[in-house]
Amino acid sequence: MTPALLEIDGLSVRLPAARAARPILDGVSLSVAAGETVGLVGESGSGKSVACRSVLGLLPQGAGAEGQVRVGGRDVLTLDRTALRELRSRKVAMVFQDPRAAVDPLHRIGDFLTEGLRAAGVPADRATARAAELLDAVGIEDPRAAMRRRPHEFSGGMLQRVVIAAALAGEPDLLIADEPTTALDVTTQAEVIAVLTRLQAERGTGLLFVTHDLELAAAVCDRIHVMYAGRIVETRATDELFARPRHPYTAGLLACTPRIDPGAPPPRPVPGRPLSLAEAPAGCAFAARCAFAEPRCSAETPALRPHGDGLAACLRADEGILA
Amino acid sequence: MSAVLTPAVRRPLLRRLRPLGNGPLFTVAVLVLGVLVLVAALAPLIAPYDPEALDLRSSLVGSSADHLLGTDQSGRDVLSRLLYGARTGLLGPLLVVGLSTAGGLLLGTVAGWRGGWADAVLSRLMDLVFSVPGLLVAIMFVAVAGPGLTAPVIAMAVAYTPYVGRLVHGLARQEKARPYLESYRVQGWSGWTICVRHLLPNIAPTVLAQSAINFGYALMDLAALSFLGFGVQPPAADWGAMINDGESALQQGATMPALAPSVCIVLAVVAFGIVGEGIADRLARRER
Amino acid sequence: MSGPTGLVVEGLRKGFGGRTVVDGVSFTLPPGGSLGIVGESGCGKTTTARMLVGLERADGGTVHLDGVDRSMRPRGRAGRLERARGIQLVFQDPYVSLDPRIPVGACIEEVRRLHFPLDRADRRHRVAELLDQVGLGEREAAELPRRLSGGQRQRVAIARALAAEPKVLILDEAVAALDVSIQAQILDLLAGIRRASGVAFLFVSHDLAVVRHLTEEVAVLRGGRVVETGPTVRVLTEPQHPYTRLLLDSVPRRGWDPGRIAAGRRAPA
Repeated sequence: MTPALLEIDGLSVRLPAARAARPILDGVSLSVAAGETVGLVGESGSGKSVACRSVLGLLPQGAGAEGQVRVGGRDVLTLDRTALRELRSRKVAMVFQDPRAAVDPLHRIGDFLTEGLRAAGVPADRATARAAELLDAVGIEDPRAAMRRRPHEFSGGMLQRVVIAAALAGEPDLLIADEPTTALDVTTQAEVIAVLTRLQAERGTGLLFVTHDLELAAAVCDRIHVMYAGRIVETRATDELFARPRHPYTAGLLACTPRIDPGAPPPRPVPGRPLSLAEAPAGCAFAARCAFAEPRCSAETPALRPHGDGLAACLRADEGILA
Repeated sequence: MSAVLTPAVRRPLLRRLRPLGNGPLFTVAVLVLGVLVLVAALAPLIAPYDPEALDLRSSLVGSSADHLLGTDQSGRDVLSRLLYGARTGLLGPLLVVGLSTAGGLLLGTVAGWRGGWADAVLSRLMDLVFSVPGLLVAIMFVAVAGPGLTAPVIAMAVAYTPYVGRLVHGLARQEKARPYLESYRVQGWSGWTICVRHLLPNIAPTVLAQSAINFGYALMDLAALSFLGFGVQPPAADWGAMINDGESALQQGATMPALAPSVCIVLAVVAFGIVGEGIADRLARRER
Repeated sequence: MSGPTGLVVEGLRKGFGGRTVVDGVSFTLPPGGSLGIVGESGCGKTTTARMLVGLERADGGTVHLDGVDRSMRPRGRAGRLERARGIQLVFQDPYVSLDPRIPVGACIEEVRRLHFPLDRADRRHRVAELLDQVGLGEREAAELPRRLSGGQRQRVAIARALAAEPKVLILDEAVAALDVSIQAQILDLLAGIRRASGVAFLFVSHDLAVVRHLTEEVAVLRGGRVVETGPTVRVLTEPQHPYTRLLLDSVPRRGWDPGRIAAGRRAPA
């Protein structure tokens, strides 16, 4: 097995006492190897965005963190400013949900793409040639002309391609995509995902793919981590996860996602609403919404343990309750 | 589901005000305004002398136990005139802000909500008023109606209306497109009812912030008019008129008669500015 | 009363600044039926919905509800109210569709007071009933919208739309802003409401999977025109129009190959 590019190890994040000391993440661990696509799936409040941003050393202001986030063996959380900048320009790149917010609206696309390369000491003509190459790679026609245009002249889907091109400019080992297609139309989503997965496969980049859409994660990822209320509740290879989920929340998410396939049953709702870690009571955070909960579920916080070929954080994971 | 629900308890007034706190500066500004209002209300009780009582024998006396801030050229007690001056000092801007806010709300809402030709006509009208300097209009008004508080107040109210009107116009257009107001239209409410019951209360805090800032400017403008002799007439106590009076005292080496009202004007204007900005800041933070 | 019953839309057109957004849209929604209007952003589906409730004025075409023409702007209070009782709308984002200053119970009571001023005696009872129908209780009724979750707010918005007792309820991406587990709750709720009240649904959405489970008929919109229409099951299993096929293929699922779709899309262009 290739050594992991990214290892998040027991990451707990808590907002500072001055702002009502709220815990956000509790003991999150995951790893991404070169060329691997790992999904991080959860609803609002699950902490998936906080977890993925920590990889770039971006934590909420003043937040305290425990555990380690290692990229290439170095702990991101202890890096100084220079080392962080180095990390962000060379090792890890991020694609955000809203491409409009990620691009300076006043600058030409060409400047946006080349500024990172220029800062890294690449001569102007080489940087321009490289940017054109990248735009071509993400499927933008006539890259030279596109580089002279400004963000508002692009559609959301095209702009997200530009953002992906910019993310790949520094030839990162690891790409973090935080809901990269949530703001896009379905057909555009398919195109952007096609570009993203093709380039990732060609370049052997590790990809951490964060989404609320389990079906999308299933289509893209090799392995999926399901998050609920600041914790990872299940980790499993995609096919296994769909075929034999061990955590009732995963099963609930699968059952409540409306499916397009003919003959698929109507979505079955999970009662209650998703919680954040700060709101979660003692014990299993999902217990109050769980059809299989027992008294001990609200007393004992389940640890993430091997069940089947993956991990699940459920006290009853071995009882075959979901069969 | 129950985690977000806590019974709505009416919080005590002081605790409701506390989140307004934008740091110590804001608190100081609120205190300054509080003192000002109190002084204006209680002037007859706390002023040591009649503000208009002439005593030519004790002209330009320095500060002493009898006259804390000394006397002016006509021998009137500066402190008493200052305290009474707070009354016209606040009454004038209050009227200006009240009238201009009412006018601005009406014009701005009609223009912003109705759109079309009503918008075009009212917006051009406001632009027109906007482009004429308010002080100049006030001086013209005084030339026609004679000096005093009424003419300058009406003129300034007209001049300030576009400031509020343009703000309300923008807010009304922006809010009209928000689904919560659109939902009232879908339900079949009349535009008038939606504006009065739902639009105005939702934009009121922003308008209030602008009005607080306008209050300071109106105070300054009215003081300037009095200083020029177009406003409140002697012997009535007014800060602007007092500065004018104090000018000749300055040449005789007595600074207090001009300095004291100047300080009051600056304090009041700055305090209103800080409070207005503070409210606006807080709204901006709430929006986020 | 004349003409066919239900909602009949014919040749609806709307342009903004010279750009045609809705270009001759026609469809029929029978009483108590459920029609999905599907398409991507910019296809004209939201503009169509807004014209039906009078938030936009159509440039052309006609709208009839149970034979009554709705194309003209209503005159006076009675016309306005009657129009509102015909079609109601639930907006996409429950975080901005409720007046932040008004407790949600009062928000529903307002609608009852406007439309049924004479039922003062059992108004409170009806409000409680409506809230109960969407799964909310007295405690929630007293709260301001900001103290409720997104799902709860959308329930309020649905109760408020039903308060006018409309014949047609338009749901404009009404579950798109919600978490998946909440989305399923609202879909379930809507299905129940339709069974119980017989109100017709016009379900405007970009999400084919959602439309599949909530509608009987579907119209696929592209560039302001209806490109395909028919029974939902038929359209989603045997799409006739290439665009419908593209939409279907674009829905992510296991074993999905986005590369093929992207390639397939570029070829005919």
